Amino acid sequence: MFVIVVQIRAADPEAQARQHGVYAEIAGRYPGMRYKHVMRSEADGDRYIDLMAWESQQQSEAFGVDPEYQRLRPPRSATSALPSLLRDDNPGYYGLLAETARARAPIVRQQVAVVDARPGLEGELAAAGRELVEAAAALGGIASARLLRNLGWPARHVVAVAWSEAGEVSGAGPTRAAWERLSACCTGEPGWESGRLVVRWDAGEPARG
Amino acid sequence: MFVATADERMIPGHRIELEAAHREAIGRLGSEPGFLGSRLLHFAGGPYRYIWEMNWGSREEWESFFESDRFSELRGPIDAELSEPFSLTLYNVPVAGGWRGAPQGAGE
Repeated sequence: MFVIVVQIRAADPEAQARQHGVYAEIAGRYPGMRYKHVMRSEADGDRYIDLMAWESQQQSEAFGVDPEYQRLRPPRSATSALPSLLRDDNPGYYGLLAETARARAPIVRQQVAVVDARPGLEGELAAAGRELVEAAAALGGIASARLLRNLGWPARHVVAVAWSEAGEVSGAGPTRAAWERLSACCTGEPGWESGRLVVRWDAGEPARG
Repeated sequence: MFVATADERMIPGHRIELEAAHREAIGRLGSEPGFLGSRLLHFAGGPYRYIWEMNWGSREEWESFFESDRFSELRGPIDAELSEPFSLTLYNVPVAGGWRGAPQGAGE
């Protein structure tokens, strides 16, 4: 699976959310789109995190040059990528390393952690991330948990956990030890960003705002 | 051997046009004295970043091309597809080799 992860600061957050719903509808006409989930940060209402998954990069790129999509895109000044997630490129391309998901489970909230492995600890970080995903599967209230690795910067990983009800990965017993192991492999002090789901598109279902 | 790379940022949605412009440019470079080969690299971690690598026999041969009008003519159609004009970086090649398949003139 090929996943695009983009973190955006929007000049007009409401318009941004509507726009992403339209993008999802256009992208959904193309074969291979799996889901698009957009969440609005709980800590900063101007921030969005957008996860868009395709079966392959080629299918995603076919949509990426769609004239209707390109025409609707706002000027670049209307949004700005956050370098903490994207370095100098927007959006980021990721591959799926581990996943657990309940089909058609409701999602009310997502937690996302963007982490960088310390040099030489990439394998240990990935192993701890897989443990975290497995442990999350045993938690009640989890809709999905995924570990992604950036396709261009192999040290960069994203952990994304979707909740059907209130919950915290870092505070839950089965996942806490795995998170601590993962954190020990990272540069800096890794942390979670939480957000409310504002756009959800899943294959076979219409977008929901 | 001497290598010039152009660091490029594509206008979103212009992938097809940008890659076509490079195919045209690389075809034209084939007649330049000292030109050994070229590749366009697309960043694997996002859609907008490219590195265009051009290999030359010597720095002097690159500079002869760079200072000619032909370089400006070559970059015009490429710059039209970029969000900002590309920036060049120049490299000497102290170690080369290990090519399998189509070489780029490395190690000559």
